[in-house]
Amino acid sequence: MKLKPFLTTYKIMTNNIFSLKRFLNLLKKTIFERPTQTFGLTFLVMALVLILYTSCRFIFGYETTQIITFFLGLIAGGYFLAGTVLGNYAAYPTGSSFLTLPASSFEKWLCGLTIILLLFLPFFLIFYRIMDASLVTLYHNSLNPNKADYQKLFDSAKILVFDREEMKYIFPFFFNITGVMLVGSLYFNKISIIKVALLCAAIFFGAFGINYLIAGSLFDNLNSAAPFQRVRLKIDDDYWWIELPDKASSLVGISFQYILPVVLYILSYIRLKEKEF
Amino acid sequence: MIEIKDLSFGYNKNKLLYKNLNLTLENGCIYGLLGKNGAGKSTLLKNIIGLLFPNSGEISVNGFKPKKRLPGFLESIYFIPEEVDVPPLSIKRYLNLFTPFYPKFDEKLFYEYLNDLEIESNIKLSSLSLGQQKKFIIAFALASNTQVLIMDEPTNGLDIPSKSWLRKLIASIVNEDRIIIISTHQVRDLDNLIDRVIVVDEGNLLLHASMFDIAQRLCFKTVTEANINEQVFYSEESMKGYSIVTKNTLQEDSKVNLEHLFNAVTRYGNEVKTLFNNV
Repeated sequence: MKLKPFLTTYKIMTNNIFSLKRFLNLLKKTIFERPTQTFGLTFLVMALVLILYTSCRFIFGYETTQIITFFLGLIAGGYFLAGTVLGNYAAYPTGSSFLTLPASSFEKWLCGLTIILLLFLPFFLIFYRIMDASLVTLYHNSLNPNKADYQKLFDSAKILVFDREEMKYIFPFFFNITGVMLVGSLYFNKISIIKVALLCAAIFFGAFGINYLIAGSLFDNLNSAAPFQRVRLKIDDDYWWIELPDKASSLVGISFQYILPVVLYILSYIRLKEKEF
Repeated sequence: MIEIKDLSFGYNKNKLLYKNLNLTLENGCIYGLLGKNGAGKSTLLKNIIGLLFPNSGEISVNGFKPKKRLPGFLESIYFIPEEVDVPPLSIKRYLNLFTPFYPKFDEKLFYEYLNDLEIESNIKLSSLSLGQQKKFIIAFALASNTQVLIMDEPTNGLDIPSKSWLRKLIASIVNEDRIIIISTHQVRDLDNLIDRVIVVDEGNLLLHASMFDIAQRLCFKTVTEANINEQVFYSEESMKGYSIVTKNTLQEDSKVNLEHLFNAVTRYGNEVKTLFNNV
């Protein structure tokens, strides 16, 4: 077999799937074409996080405020950005120009993912750490070391670490919600951000409702039921839990943390490839 | 070359708009795609560009399958939709972001077109009127020098001088490698421009013929009284009598009137179809 024609065909084929030069051009185009949608949205989220943080820390305390603002900033930013980057392929009348832009579906999809996972996520983490560290340090410096409660107040404000227990839920939630939004923005041509939010709410409450109904049909003394977690029963004056077995629980955990986001991201690629306008 | 083989397409799988459509479009021609509103013109164009996928059958555009939307294919084709969308950028920034995707883009030519269209080159695109935005996109599309240029209702929203400019320009850019397809329901806009006419109605291909063939087989004339022996496909009262379209039995030379042709074809589709063997 002659190598040269084979390599030429291979080059043409691969060039039609991914070209670094074209990908970088696409990334530049996507980010700078509608800067209010990318930069504007990111800065808006950051501004809201800052406002919320500064105004809530003295009401709820530092720890709670940090968890709430970090969660809201990361999820809201990721959600809206995901709705924007691939939403342009489905919205009218931008869709036809986005879909017919000379770049492969893989590059277009990868561009969306890059903006969310490699640009927004690290950018938000850096911003949050700087903001958090600055405000905590300012607070520490404002305290009077001669007061009796100095140490207590000092210890009440600590910089949020990104490997604490809550992050095990927040990061998977971020990956899942961005995955859902990427798929949803390609399924719904109009107001996808609202439609996906409603759909998520319907699935969430639907899962809780169905789970509660099933648990209720099995137990007379049901108190509460969380899907894929536990059922709480009231026996006499005590509460007892029936929890998911360890194996099943870890399987659910792995599914939500790794499998579901990957499935959603792949689904968004397939949907983009098959998108008609 | 664009080859459409046994194309079936419908927005609803149970109700097909196109059934087994066969059509070949040759390079070096300007095609006028005519049809009423909702006749399926945009649907056909979207199938050619790969924005819609056929239910069955095949489309090949210069060897590419549009459905795959490969970059090599998209680089060679430019589609101007009826409603254009421009980002809120300056023209310079727009070029900076978009021209890397079109290797044959000619910047000098683009600025010449903008100058002809009286669009300032230092203006923000979002501040242009809808008509001006369309003119800008047309100028960009023409300067992209793609092998296939598809325009869906390009004259909608254009003023009279711009329509005339567009006609002249399209006539000047066609070469033996290029295919230009212009879809419109305003048939007068295509006068003296197109080489071949395609008429579709409700997914049916009513006519696909060259202007030369049409002039050979149909006669467009004005008469004071219709001859009862000749079949009149279309007649319209005019200042001088009746403008009619008849079978060209006497091999008369007449100028094709696209509007009358369109009316004749949409009213007497089957009769006209039989006159053109290549449909």
